[in-house]
Amino acid sequence: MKKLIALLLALVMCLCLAACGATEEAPAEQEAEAAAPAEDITIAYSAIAYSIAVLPQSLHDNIKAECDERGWEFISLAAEGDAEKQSEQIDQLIDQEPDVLVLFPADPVLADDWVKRVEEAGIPCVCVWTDVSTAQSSVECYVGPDNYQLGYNLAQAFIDANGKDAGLKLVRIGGVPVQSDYIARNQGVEDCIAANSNYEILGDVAWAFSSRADAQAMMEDFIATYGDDIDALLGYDDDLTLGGVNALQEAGMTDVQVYSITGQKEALTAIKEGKMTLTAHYTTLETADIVASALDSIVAGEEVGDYYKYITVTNITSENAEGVEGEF
Amino acid sequence: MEIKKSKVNAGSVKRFLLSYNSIVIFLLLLIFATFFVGKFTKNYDTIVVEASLYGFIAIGLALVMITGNIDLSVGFQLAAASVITVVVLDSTGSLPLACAAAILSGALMGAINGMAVTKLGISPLIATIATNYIYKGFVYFFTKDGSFYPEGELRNTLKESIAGVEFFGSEFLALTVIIFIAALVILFFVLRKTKFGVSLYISGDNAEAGQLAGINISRVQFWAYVLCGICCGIAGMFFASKSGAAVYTQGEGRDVFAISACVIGGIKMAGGKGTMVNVLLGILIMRIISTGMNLMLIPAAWVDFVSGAMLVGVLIIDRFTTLKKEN
Repeated sequence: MKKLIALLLALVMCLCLAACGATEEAPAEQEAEAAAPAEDITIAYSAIAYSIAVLPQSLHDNIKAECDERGWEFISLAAEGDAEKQSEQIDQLIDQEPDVLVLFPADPVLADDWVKRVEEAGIPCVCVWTDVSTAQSSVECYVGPDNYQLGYNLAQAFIDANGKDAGLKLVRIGGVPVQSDYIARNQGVEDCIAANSNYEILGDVAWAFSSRADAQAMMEDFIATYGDDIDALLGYDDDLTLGGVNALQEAGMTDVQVYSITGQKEALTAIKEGKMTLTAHYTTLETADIVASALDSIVAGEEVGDYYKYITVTNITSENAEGVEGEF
Repeated sequence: MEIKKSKVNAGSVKRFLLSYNSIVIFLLLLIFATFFVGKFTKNYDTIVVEASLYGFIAIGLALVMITGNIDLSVGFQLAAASVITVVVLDSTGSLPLACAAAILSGALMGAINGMAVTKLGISPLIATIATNYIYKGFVYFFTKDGSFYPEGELRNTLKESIAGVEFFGSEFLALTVIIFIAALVILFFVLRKTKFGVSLYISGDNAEAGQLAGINISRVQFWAYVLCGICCGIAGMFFASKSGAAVYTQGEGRDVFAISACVIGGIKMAGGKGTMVNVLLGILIMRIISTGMNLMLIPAAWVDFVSGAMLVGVLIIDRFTTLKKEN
């Protein structure tokens, strides 16, 4: 009986694998047929995560749309935040022999090795969102925000709005502490505050990873510790900053200024409702568009131009929020 | 006479299948993946190498599980040992010293777990959840600003000296694979042929009877945790070498992998049963699922789903057969 159940389970398992494979591959095949590609181009996308972060998924959707438009096959894998897993997945994407690999790395230092392996396989590589700067020679280009400047400009907008001698006190909420984009944003904020104002940063960054609920709890801790001393909250990702906004609203601290990054739909609504002050807005649509242009050049055997291809960032406040749509 | 012989053979096959039903799952998965997953055959070597990297924490955990206990801190013991490897290499420049420090740190972490469970009498579940947070905090301290790696040429030394070593140009003969197989063989015989090995089984099967027979059950369980820590130390050293860095995520989710590999392989949660062959089968099954699904471009969340579903299935079988025996 036990053997029979084990066999049945194994068969179910195999069927699951087959079923999962079928559902993943069928739409791609149909779309590829519909688009009738002039040549068989395959673009691989390796992402840090889909289920724990909305941005890589949105980027995936937009890059896929660009590939579909060109009749290219698009294949992708996401590592759910696990750098070791992404390392394995890159090898398995290399095995699929894509024409170009678009990489959204979980770790810029480890990615140095990954892009070397991609290069050794003769596959051009484009990095998005997290720069693999030490391996520039084997990466065609970087597409995404200048994360350090993003943090610096956010703090500068806060200083400009209040005057450099206002002596304000601020707290910070970030995402994944070990991720280079958040580290760069935080460095930018710290450098700008130190260089251009007499403001005081209260406590360390509250790293909420990818959980808005954790961000809210961390903001509640800040409120319990610093109370009315808090003049502003600087968040490095709207999704998490909104957790902080919830905590501020519940504590009745509606006069605290809230600055953030991303331009999510909910953040734009919060700005219109006066719950947030500013969000630095960018789009994955533009990112995907720039990535697609780079892919066009690579596929055509042409140079991609500048290594750094930074996306546009617009500060959205209550004055210009009307008519601005968030992507997610 | 011939009929009797064939009966004996049929009985042996049945006993073998009952002991190693995971071999059926393993073979079915291997056959399916080989024939239906494109480029899977190109990845046989990758599966073996990855099994050697991830496998050490599973064989360490198996020793603890055989005694009827559990260790939920194996993931961050691994990550902490990875950090220690980098710290010692960076400060001394000596790779042998860094490797020794990683293994010793693993032994120390295992000893802390063992003390908490056997001397302080804390539930293994609670004790190792608590120590997991301690090890996690230690790893976070060093990796909070990103990957933590030795400066300059030392990083290349780390990458090329352990995980980068292959004999006869074959990944099947990578140094990590050889060390892993050697550890499996040694532990197989330790469990089968030594007094300590038998004591581990008795500790999990019937600790009270073992105590009455003069076995120091606490000491046996303590050393099982220490050995588990040493295995995590070796795994940490391997991971540090593979990446050339200590990374926070090296510890994330490894405990679930190790438990799944052990249980799917055939190590009983209640203790007292299982061999290194069971663990090896469990590790290979997990790696085939992961690699096969990656090659089929199935999102990682589905890999977790399938692994979890299989774990539940095996636990149901385990419960079902235990009840049958009790009846």
